[in-house]
Formats: sequence, C-alpha cells, structure tokens
Amino acid sequence: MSDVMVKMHGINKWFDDFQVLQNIDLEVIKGQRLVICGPSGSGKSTLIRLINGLEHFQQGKMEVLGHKISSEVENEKALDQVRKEIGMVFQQFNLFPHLSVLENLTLAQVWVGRRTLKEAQEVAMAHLKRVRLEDQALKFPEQISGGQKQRVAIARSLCLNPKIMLFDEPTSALDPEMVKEVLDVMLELAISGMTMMCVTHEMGFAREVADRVLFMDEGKILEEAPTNEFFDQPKHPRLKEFLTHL
Amino acid sequence: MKVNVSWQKNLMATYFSSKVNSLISIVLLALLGLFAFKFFNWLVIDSIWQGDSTACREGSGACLAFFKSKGTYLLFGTYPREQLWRAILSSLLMIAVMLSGSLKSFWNWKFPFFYLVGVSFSYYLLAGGWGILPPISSHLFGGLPITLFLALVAFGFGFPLAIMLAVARRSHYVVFQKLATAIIELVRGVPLISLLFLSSLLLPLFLPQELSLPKLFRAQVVLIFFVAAYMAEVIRGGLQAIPKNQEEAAWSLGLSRLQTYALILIPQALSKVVVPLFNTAIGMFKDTSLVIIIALFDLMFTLKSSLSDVNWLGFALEAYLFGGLIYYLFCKYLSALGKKVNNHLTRN
Repeated sequence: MSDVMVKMHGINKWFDDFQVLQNIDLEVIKGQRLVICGPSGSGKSTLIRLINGLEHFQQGKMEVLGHKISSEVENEKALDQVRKEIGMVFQQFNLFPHLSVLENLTLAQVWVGRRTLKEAQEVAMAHLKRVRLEDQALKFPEQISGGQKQRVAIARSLCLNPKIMLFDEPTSALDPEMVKEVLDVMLELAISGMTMMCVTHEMGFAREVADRVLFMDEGKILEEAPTNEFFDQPKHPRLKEFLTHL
Repeated sequence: MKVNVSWQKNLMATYFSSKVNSLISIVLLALLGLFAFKFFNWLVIDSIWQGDSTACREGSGACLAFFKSKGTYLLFGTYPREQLWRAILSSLLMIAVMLSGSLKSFWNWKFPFFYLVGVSFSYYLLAGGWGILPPISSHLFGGLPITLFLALVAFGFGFPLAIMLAVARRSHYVVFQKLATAIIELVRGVPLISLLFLSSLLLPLFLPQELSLPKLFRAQVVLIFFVAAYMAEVIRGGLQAIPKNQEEAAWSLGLSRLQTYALILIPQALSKVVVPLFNTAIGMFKDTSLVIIIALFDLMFTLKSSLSDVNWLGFALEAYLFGGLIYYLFCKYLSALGKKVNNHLTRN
C-alpha cells in the first residue's frame, strides 16, 4: 500500500438542488497535517465528513485507506472498516452523556476493538493521562468543562489507534480560555506523527501545525499550498480578501 | 440556603395566610372531616362481620361478612378449591416478581432472570400438567392470578417488542419500517375490545383446528401487541429527542447501527421517557380488565359476577371498593416504581 491515505477525484455533492461540493480533487499522504479553512457554508465540514461516511456524494471517486468508497450505493461494509481506522472529533464534542468519561473511552474498544474491559480501561487511562484528565475518569460529561470535554473526545478517538484523525471545528464551541488547552493536545498529537485533517478557524494553529493548507469557498477548493506559501503569498483574490479579515 | 421553619408556622402560612384562605381551608377541612367520619363509621364502627346477608341488610355499616363468604371467589374465581394453595402461591410469586423490580440490586441481569423464572413457575403452579401437580384447565383460572399474569406477561414481552418496533420504524430498510408502522397503526387504531374479539372469533377461523390456542393465550398475544404498539410510540418520541450527533459520534467510533441503538440511543431515549412509559403501563394494567369481553374471568369479572349471587344481592359498594383498592395498590406501586427509576436515571 502506498502512503496515500485519502484520495478524492472529481467529487460532486448536492443537497437537493444546492451543490455543496464542486469537482473536489484531494490527496492526503501519511503523516500529513492538512488544515481546511474558509468562510461558513463553504463546504469544508461536508468535505471532511465524506471521509468517514457521515455524508455521501453523488459523483466522483474516493479511496480511503485503500477502501474504495463509491457514490452509487451506501457501501456499509467498506464504511464500517474505514470508520474503525479513522478517529473524528466534533465541534459539539458529542460525548455520550449517559456514560462516565471512562466508559466513553472503553465502549468502542470493547464492542469494536474486541478488547477485554480491563485492557480497555488500561488503554483509556493511558490516553486520559495523555490529555491530562486521568483524575476526571469517573465523572460524567455534564460535570466537566467544555475544554475538558473536547480533550476527552480526542482521547476517545485515539483509543482504537486510528490511522487518520479528522477534526471538525474542534474549538469553535469553546470559550477563548479553553481553546488553548485543546490546541495544545492537538499540537502534541501532530508532533507524534499522526495524519490529521482539521477544519478550523484558528489560523495561528494552522500556521504552527499544518504542513499544507486548503482554502474553500462555495464548494470549491480555491487554493491549496504549503503553509508558509499559503499565508505569505496567497494567489487567489478571494483568499487574499479572507486573510485580511483575520 | 435551607431555612428551617417550624411546622406550625408552615401550617399557618399554607392554610391560614389570609381571611379568604382561612375560610376556604376551614370549609374544605370541615367537609373532608365529615366525609372521613361517616366513612370511618360505615367501614369500622358499624361494620358487620358476622352472619349472612340478612344480618348485613339489618345493619347500617359495611358488610364485611360478604368477604368472608365471597372473598375466595373474588380473588381466585372458580379455581378448584382443593388446589387453591396453588393459585395463592402463584399470585404471591407474581407479586414478588413485581416488587423485585423496585430493588436496585436487581436492575441488571437479575431482574429479567427472576422475571422469566418467576412467571414461568407461577404459570406452572396455576396450570400444572406435568410433574407432581395435576393439570387444571385454563378456563378455570380466575380473579387476581389472571389479572396479574396478563399484566406481567404483557409488560415483560410487550416492552422489548416495543423497543424493536420503535427501532424498526426508524430503520432505513423499508420493509421493516413499513411493517412496524403497519403493526403500530393497526393496533393503535382499533379499540382493545375489538382486538380481543378478533382474537377470539377471527383467529380460530384462519388457523387450523389443531392449532387452536386457549383463550388466555389469544388474549395474551393481543395484550402484548397492545402494550408494544403504545410503548413503541413513546420510545420513538424519546429516540427523536436525541440529537443526530450522538449517532454520528457512535458511527465514527466504528459502532454498527445495531450497537449504536443498543448502547447509545436506546439507553438515552428510555431515560427521557420513563414518565410517559409508566403512565402507559398504568393505563394498560387497568385495561386488562377488558378481557371480560371474551369471558376470561379476571378480577373485574369475579367482582361483577359475585354481585349477582342471589344470596348476596346489594353489596356492590363493598365489592367495588375492594376491587378498586386492589387496582389502586398495584397502580400506586407502578407509579412509585416509575418515580424511583426516573430519579435514578436523572441523577446521573
């Protein structure tokens, strides 16, 4: 298998009459950290949600981790496999409110990863330690802060050793004070060599972590460049305009 | 901060805070007191314990001698008297199964296990047929055991079926979806009485002779579906209240659709609908009395028929109060159980 983790070619997607994605070509290579930015409604969340099948597309070709995901049918089999190998972190954290922090982390390990509860708890505690929340393990999601919730969500995704991590605006629902604690965890993750795709408005984070940045507007990828080039020599006028507002 | 107020002050503030309030309190308390006094007189002071119906008619109080004579019939109908202990034990066992539902230490595999064992064994006690107990035909069952058995089995099997119907109704497999919708709409759209009639009159026409089930079972199947259809809609309401992102988070972790329902969606949905679920359960418990219509002799039937005993005409008040009390106790228990479950789930 080559090092190409995600490959999209000529993807088109419509919500009823409205075209959210237009002719998307994209390639993500192992270890790459890709940041996707752009104004609201530009299709960046939709793009990232295609990768683990939370959205489906109507035209084009996609291959994720060697599994062909087709547009024609809902190919549950391939998607099941893909989802096991991809972690995703959401804007609204999406922790399971009826389970404790520890149970949030062990659930998928036991049912999907086929680990014993004891193994799962050990792995979970190791990841909670990594995000500095080992002392919150027995609390319920409603008892911890937003920043802590998001760190738990990241730890939860990491428990099954994903090959790619997707982040869909992970800091947009957080107080400014809490943004940093989440970004720090993501930074550490990047340093560890994780392949990451991140939709974010945190341009500082993008500059620091990304090795490639992608700018979208109205469902199209308008510019895709290495990080320094993206910020220092933007070419597309729409991107220049976008960057002046930051 | 919690301020401790003496009960006297509390009483004054609640019932006698103003002239109008005082007046209303006094008048209503006086009426209540009068009623309680009369009722107490009737039930306790003037009540007649000894003798037959003539003695009762001469007195002015409650005729408790009625229960001495008819009590066994009220509770157990025409169940053979020499085997009565079986009906009593069976009823006690079913009550024990019900009560065990309120033990928190049973809220795991233990309750379903005890439920299945308890209900099976109480049916064996009633019907016998193999082993040491001689068989007794189900048309001789009557009174409390019938009511308890119908309700327990209807809830125990109807509730899991309700979950399946609710999930199937949201399925992306159109066949499941249509089938579940059809069952739910059909059962909800037809009065229970009609369904019971259909089960006893129509089903035998379609099924071959050898397959004819006893009336008790036909009524039981109808009640299970009746409970399932109503509860399915309550549970579906709970499922709809859960944000889509819970499902997406579960899928992203690699959980299958079935696992997502079993581990994420259903537990959350149920905790949201405990109150309406128990509301439905209480209504259904009382609806079991409609099986009279197909001549199943449940508690309500034994009550009514005991009134037509020529030796004991005219004691309807006593009989209905007794029946009412029994239904009330069971429904009160269900209501308390619902509260306990709800408190337990919302505290987390």
